[in-house]
Amino acid sequence: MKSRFAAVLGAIVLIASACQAATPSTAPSAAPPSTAPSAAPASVAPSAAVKTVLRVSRISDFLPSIHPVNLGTGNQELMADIVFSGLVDVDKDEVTILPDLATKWTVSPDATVYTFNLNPAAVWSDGEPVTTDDVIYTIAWGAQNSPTAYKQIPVDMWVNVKGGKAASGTKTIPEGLKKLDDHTIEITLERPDATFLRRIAGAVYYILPEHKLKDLTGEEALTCPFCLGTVGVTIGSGPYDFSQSISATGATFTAKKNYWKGKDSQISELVYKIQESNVSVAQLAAGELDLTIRVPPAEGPGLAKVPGLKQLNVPGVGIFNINFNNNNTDKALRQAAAYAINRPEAIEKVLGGLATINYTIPPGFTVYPDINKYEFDLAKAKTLLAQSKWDINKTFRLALLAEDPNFTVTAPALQQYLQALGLKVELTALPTAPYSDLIQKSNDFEAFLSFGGSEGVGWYQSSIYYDCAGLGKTQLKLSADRNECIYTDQFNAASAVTGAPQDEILHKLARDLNENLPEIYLWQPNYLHVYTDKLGGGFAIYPNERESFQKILDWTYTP
Amino acid sequence: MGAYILRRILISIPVLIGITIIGFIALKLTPGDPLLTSVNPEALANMMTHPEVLEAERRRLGFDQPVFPHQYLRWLANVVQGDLGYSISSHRPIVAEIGARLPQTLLLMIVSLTLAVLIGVPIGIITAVRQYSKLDYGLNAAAILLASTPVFVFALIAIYVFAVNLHWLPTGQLHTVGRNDALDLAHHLILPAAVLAIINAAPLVRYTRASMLEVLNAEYVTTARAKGLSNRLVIVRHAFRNGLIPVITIVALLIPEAVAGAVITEQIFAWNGMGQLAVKAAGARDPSMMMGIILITGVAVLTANIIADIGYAIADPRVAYDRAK
Amino acid sequence: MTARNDPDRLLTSMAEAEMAKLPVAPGAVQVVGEHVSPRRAAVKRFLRYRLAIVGVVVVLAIMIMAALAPLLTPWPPNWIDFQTGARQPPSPEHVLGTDVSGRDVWARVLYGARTSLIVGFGAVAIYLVIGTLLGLAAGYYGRFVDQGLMRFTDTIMAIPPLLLIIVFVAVLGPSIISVIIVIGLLGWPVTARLVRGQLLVLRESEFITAAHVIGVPDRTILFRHMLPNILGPLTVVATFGVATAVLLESSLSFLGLGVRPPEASWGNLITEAVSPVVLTTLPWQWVPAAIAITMTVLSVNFIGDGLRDAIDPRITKNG
Repeated sequence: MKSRFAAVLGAIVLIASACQAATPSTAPSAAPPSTAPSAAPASVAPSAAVKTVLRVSRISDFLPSIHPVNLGTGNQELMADIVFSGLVDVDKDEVTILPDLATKWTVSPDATVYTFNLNPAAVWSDGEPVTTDDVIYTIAWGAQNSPTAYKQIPVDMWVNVKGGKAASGTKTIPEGLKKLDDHTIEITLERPDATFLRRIAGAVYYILPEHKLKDLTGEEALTCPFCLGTVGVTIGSGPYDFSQSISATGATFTAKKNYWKGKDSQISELVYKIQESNVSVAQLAAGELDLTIRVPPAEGPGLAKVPGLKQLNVPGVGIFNINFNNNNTDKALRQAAAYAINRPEAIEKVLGGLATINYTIPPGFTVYPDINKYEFDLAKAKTLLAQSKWDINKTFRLALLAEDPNFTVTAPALQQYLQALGLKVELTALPTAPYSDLIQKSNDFEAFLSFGGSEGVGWYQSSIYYDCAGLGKTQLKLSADRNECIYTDQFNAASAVTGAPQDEILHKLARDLNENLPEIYLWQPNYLHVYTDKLGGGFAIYPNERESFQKILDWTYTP
Repeated sequence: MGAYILRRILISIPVLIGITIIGFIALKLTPGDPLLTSVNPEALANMMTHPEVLEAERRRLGFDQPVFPHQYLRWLANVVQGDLGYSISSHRPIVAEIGARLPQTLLLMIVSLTLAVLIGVPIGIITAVRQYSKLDYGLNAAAILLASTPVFVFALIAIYVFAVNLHWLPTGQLHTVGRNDALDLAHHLILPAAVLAIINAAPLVRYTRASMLEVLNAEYVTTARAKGLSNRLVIVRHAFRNGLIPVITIVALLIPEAVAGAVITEQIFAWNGMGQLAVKAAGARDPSMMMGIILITGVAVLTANIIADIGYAIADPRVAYDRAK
Repeated sequence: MTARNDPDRLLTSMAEAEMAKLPVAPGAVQVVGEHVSPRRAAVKRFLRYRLAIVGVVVVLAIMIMAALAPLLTPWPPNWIDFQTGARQPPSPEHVLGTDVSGRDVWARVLYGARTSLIVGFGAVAIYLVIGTLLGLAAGYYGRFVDQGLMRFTDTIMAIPPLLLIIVFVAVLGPSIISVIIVIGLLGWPVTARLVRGQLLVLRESEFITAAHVIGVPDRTILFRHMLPNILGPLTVVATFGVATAVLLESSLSFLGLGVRPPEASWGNLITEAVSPVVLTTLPWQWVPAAIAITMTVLSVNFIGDGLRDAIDPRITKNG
């Protein structure tokens, strides 16, 4: 009887190992292309005949849609980058502007008038040409439907077009949009903005097809099939098309043939998976995944032992911070909290040193010498707390997103520091829907933890959070009465100029934010990206990793 | 026999209604705007900007009426027609979400329960026949140990040994990335199904053993032995059939337990089934999703019980003629 | 509470027949006989009892350790040790190392015992009371009340318990209180059925009929005569119930739907182990909790087995 048992067990094992042998450990890969990589743009790579499949995942949140109104996560941005095109792209130094739909552009000296020449070869997936009409449609729609339709990231650049603000809620085309001809457009801004070019390289500013979305209303944009990323319906001018619609677990894309930029992508299929981090890690180790962006740094040592994988361990551009409800807290309390948190210790001991300390000013600023670094000083913190109007018998409610391990691991440490200060800190971990309701629609919290995913790229990235009419009002509860809307004005003023005048404005802004502390910037966690050594050519992960697919045409995948 | 089946079905109706009531309670108790889960998100998006339209919609759907019985009856009518509402996390209809995942769970459950029976019953018989032997004690100890180990601990150990260390089997998911074939699915099915099967086999072993013991010591078996029939024949011809009858019922009783085990197993193995959906729904506090899962699972278990009852009646015709208590 | 924790004992009374939905010819009480010599029977009984004694010792030890937790470790369970840091291996200061946030694992195992024991006993206490009252009512009042209750218990038993509990804990918000309440409110069916079944048996017995004839009031009959008879099986059900409740709570906490960090529970100590790194390279974080759960449940199961044999020696009677 025992032997019968063993026989069955043995049979199962045999079948299992047979399956393992039959399953290839990596996806079928193409023969190396015979043309020189990334040199001649005119020739179409013969590797189009053999399929290369790139399997990608990125560990972060996701909303299953692709229209700009609901585009708030890095995962969506990566998908949008390969299906659509913007007027311009940015290079991996995060500064150099590259052509995308526009081949040439001129900027007036006062940074108010931008003229773009569109590539006449650009076409949509259905063959229709991309023209100035599409650009005008996109910008006008953005202005007309702001701010109500946009649930995630506001399209401030489009609203800033002359007449854009006035067009809100109407069907008027902002006067700042002038069609010079079918492939030339002149855009005049309301306020001078020298950051315009850099910022319209972002995914929320990609150009939409007018002939497909002409009659779309703001509400429909949340749920229409095109807007949700549907195969056969969603068309773009980017190098890829959907071959499998967006779902909660990701999407699949196929490279277009005879792409209008003159060369096809050498990766013929891209499988984008949205899944838990431990699944991605396991698949990387098993050779089932080719690239994972933002692997938890703690997994690094384990993955380093897997042959065929390379790692990129870099300081991230996301900032981990504490946002205050400025209705319920005063300056002295916020400063006390800043002094009470021992950031070097937390980074070293809880995060294993895998983060860079940040200062209490928007990142990307030069570290001005007169900025208060709020170095750990518990005595000073207690003095400040005594000075504040905060009643220490009240509960200090710190809200966080329950599903994000970044928060759940570090929140207890922050709680302990603040408790040492004397605050009765209560952690409120909630799932997404109740969490958004809490921080956006109610006053029942004192602070919440958040993560600005690309704030570290540049100072202008922070402006949306302090906008007194937007996120600044709903989340930080900034109020004009307390003169907290000055930040928006300063951000705007800074983007109007460059050089020394800009630096002066930024310096003052930094000092104001540093002193009033509507937010405390804590640290920038490191990013760990893991990828197969078969990726090459122009492959690179940007510091702002969510923009990495902008140069996917230069990537190669060789067995 | 027909009357017996009819009686079983009739008795199930109040239970069915009870299940719908429980589901409805789950739906109503969860905080949040009921409009979000009842109305097509596309239509709702259009209404959001006009509060008076929202109010009218609320009235039209009866949310201003008393919960019992008005709202319940309306909701029930919808459910019977197949409308289970919308998920607040994905904005898709619940029926679609559950439908997409039901096959995976069914596959896992059927395979693992079959394996559990194939493992547990023979072992139970063996230990009964070889009572008091070292084998009996050993297997009994293993069974009680398995019954005391949490499913997730067992699953984690299995992953550690077979996936992470030996690399024989994948650590989870339905498919290798990029593959869609049945062979790949089977490969990924092995570990979760085996884990569930072994955990569920433990109680089966003990029940089969007890049942077989009872039969083996019954008088007619003694008589058969006294008549001179070989032990083997006795076991196969008499003990077997009679001893296995209660096992059918025990398997039916095991089904709710097995579904519960499946919830945890699916979560650990990232098996895209209803169990994983339930955990996600609970985490996100998605009321209509939780309600839908309760409904579907409750109905499925009820059906399985009726089928088991029928099977039992076929195996032991005496049952059909007994007056139900 | 569930079939899983009540193995071995097969249908020797009408009460349990009710539980397992198997009809038994009225009046027939099957006796399981075993062809064993008296010596062997005694040995077997002793062996069983020995396991039960081991179980009692272990559970008592765990209870004492949980109660004396502050004396057994200098670290509070939620205290982050910034000197040592997170994910550190065992050391003289931290005998089981530190977890992902920097808290002492041994302390969390100790205080996690409190969580499990409180949930185990608390939930079972709740559903024992509810189940007994409802079962008494059903058995006593009979007819409609009885049928109604039976269908109600059928309903609750039709839905997989973990699923039901997950949903309702999510409704209340995950915490130790909601876990206790939900398990308590959903766990009474088996108790109720048992009590009702025993009541029905006893109701027919001549002893009670005689008491009735004499004129003893119903309430006295109920409390003085019936309850003591039910106490035995109830204790068995309660014991197995504690084991099930502990398993349920640890499963819920493991999934993140029960007791959530920073509160300590054996289940949520194992949550991190789904990551291959923690699973393989940080075993001190999750293995102790896994062993703790298994040991506790095993011991309680042994106790339950022993109790069951003690109160119903028929199972070992000679055939």
